[in-house]
Amino acid sequence: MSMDDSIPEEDGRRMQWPMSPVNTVLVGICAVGSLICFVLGEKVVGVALLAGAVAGGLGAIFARRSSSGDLERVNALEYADERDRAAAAKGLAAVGALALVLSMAQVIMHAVIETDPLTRWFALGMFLALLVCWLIANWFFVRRG
Amino acid sequence: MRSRVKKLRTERGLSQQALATAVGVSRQTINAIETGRYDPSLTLAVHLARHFGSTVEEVFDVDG
Repeated sequence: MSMDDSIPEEDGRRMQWPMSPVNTVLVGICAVGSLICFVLGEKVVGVALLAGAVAGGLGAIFARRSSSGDLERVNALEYADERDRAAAAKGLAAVGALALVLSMAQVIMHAVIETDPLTRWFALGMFLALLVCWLIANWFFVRRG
Repeated sequence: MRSRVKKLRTERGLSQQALATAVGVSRQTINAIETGRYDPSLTLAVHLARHFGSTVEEVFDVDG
């Protein structure tokens, strides 16, 4: 029930760094990935990653404005308070549940339709990874809250 | 959960933004609490009650 990571509304810390740590990491990964792609000559992927970095960065900066809406902040991963975080958690939980169902459907589809073994094992591995992640998350939040 | 946040806020002549700033949340969260679309955490409920100089039970009606 901490409110520590709220975006400060009026104090001097507000403009120190224009985006959340999560967005900083995501924008950084996109920017570094873009640079690597350009060095390796993969211009199309490089431009796509650069566009992702710019769009993500600008989205985060605009979501931090005091006039931005709650949906804008949640979509940009720039949570202002507990309600934003609760909405984001519910949204991500829905995505996780759908990912589990779709991944299971993919495993069944690969079992029914003859596909190459690599694709089949990849689908099964992804489903098991999601399942293990779900079980660990359940354990963590039940035991540690 | 019904709350008396809007009544207490308007009695004190506060805007939603002013109250939001005072308790460290967004204006939309104050609006959602006032319209019954969001039940605040215990921490936020206590902060709101303290801001109005009353108790959580006086600000929020869990049976409502």
